[in-house]
Amino acid sequence: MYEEIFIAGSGGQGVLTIGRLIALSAADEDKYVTYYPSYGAEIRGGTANCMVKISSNFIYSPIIEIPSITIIMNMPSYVKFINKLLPSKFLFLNSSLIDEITKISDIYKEKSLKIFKISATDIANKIGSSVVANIIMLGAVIKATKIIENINTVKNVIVKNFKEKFWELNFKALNAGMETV
Amino acid sequence: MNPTKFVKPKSLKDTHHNYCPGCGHGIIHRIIAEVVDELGIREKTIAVAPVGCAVFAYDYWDFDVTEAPHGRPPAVATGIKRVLPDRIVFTYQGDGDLAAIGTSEIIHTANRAENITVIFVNNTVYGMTQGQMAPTTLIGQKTLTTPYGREVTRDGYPLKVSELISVLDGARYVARGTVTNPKNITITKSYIKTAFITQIENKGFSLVEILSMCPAGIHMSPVEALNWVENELTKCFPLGVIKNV
Amino acid sequence: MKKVLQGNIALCEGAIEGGLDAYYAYPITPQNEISAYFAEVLPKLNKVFLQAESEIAAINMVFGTAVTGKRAMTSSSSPGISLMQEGISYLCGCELPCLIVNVMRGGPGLGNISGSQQDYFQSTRGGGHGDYHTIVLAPFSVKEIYEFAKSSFILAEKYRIPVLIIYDGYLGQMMEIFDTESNEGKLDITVDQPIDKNWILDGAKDRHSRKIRSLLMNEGELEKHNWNLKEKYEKIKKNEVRAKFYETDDAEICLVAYGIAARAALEAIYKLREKNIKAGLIRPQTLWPFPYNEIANLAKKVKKFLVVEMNLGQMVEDVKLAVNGIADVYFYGRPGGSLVSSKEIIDYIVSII
Repeated sequence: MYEEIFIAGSGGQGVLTIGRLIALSAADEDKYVTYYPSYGAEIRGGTANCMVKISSNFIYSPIIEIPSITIIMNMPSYVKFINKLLPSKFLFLNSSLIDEITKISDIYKEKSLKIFKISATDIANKIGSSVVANIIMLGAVIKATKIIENINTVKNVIVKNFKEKFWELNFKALNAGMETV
Repeated sequence: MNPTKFVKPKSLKDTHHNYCPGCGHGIIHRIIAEVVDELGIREKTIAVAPVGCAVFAYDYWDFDVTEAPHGRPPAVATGIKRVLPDRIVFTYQGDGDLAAIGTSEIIHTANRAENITVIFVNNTVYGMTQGQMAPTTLIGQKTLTTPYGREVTRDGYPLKVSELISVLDGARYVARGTVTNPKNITITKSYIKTAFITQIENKGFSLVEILSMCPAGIHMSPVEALNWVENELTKCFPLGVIKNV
Repeated sequence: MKKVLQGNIALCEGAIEGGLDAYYAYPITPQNEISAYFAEVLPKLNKVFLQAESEIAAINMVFGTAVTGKRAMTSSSSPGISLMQEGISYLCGCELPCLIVNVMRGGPGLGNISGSQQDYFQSTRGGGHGDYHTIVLAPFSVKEIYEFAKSSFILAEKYRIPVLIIYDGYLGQMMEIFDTESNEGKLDITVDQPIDKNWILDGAKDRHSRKIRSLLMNEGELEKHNWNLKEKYEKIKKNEVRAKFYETDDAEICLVAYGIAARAALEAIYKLREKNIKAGLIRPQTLWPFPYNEIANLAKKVKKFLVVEMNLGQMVEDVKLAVNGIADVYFYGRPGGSLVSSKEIIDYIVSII
């Protein structure tokens, strides 16, 4: 197994959290993982992205040149990265915040790229809070790509890393995300 | 009446000093050594010597002494005291070391109420480098780098370290003495003792500023220098306990 | 035990395992995770955490703690390490052991906050005033950061010398899985005799008073001190050079890289081998002492060397010294906080082979 996952959005959208949860879950499933975050000088509102690699073998560089999976959470990141880091296998877009200027499906129809448009922010608002849009997206990604074999691995990671009062909302978001696929 | 016998304090090595004739450092080293002996703390005292004339202090005191980069003794003392809180840690610094290059360290160390003692020797010049203007040089005073006298418009004012430090909440004991005559020496020694007791009682930061003579640096005879410190320097830097909380 | 940790956090855990007593530092990106971690953890362990008012104060607090024989550490990033150089010179002059960590960012000046390898010269040539060296360790994985930090105090105390761990901001920020128990990345430091502590200042109880100083004004005294330091440096050069070799036995071209650049280089050599280009890699783990002999030996059979760095060419000078004209030495690098990719390395190698 070898997956290179690129995740981008704005600071505060929980983009780095998606990456960390994927990395920690994959590690719990005995994979080699690297996670590399990148963000601007601002704490919130700037751009944020991260790179996660999962492999059955030692991973040399944590930096991704061509991702197999790309997840984009907002419009500025879409504009910035869609051409630079287009994935080879899966593209996930937060359709609540991304107006598709380019018709991606036209450009890549010849590739075997699977595109998922998930209205993550809208669904998050419906189940209680826009802050879990990232977890909705995570649920969709895991269901569609199977990068994590067992969803309970992710739930355990959430339990280990989040405060108890947030568990239920995050589980709900994870399930809602899985249902979109 | 028994005659008082002159004895060398245990905390002073039996060696001769390299200080110039009329210099105040010898007296100050001695009264510190006397205080350390009287408080019975020689075996747990660690001193930090400055860069300046007193850099050789470790050759004179008979307790543990380290050097420190110029101006940094308060930071070095912090690093010692934090890991050995039951030892008595003091710095010995001149006006260049403490009041010029080391202003950041002295202010923050005092502000942290670091439980150390600072002996600040103010003789208004950089002695070791041949007598340049110090932050504490008086207005009009001639030095190697103020050959026409210190000018306020160019060089600013004499820096009143003790007053500056005393406004910080972390400073618990601040006093200014001098060593120009036996009476003043006795008073200054009592300040030093109180400062060390402040540390022994874990109260926090203590500083004793000592107006001292540098006849070679201010181009006076030893006697002229004594009189100048006593009559002129004390006008700008008044003596007494400035803070004791 | 398997862990998934960020490089900067692995550093903290390694240092604590290694017996850290006190940590002093001033905030600077990209290594703020270190002080945040220590601020939370050290007080619970009854160890010292103190945020200093400047890097200058931080390194002098390290000096103070080192004087007592306790294990002191500071960390910073390039501009902050520049400010510490005076203190590092004093630490070397006074022969005080401690750990200094530089999570390198882009420069010169304020530069930027992404990872770089710009401080190779500063680290390996002393950095401050005087004829001196510090031991410089260059980890290339989160596990090595952990292991090097863990062994650094023993290494520092063995020779009474500051140990510098330098890595780029990329390694500091990245998270990786590793096994604390595995032998991978372990630095085995052999200590023949009990480490001499008869120099520390802790109060002159039941012994003569001691002094710690680097000021030596008597005739010939300073020269003698420097010759003694030289003897120590020669001992370190003899005992402590560490380097890893990958596919060098049959290599036509040998890459030389450390830190994150070595990971891109490693990826490149295996991809090149798939294309039947016999590439190898030598990865110095110690930048000072530098593996001159190891590279010189390789140069007897390998005719091309390529040094890959995230700067404009610093370690390449040491490789040239080692190779001493008997093989060609090429350089590929990117300055200013830009990462080198395996694809760039491969393209460059294809162009020179």
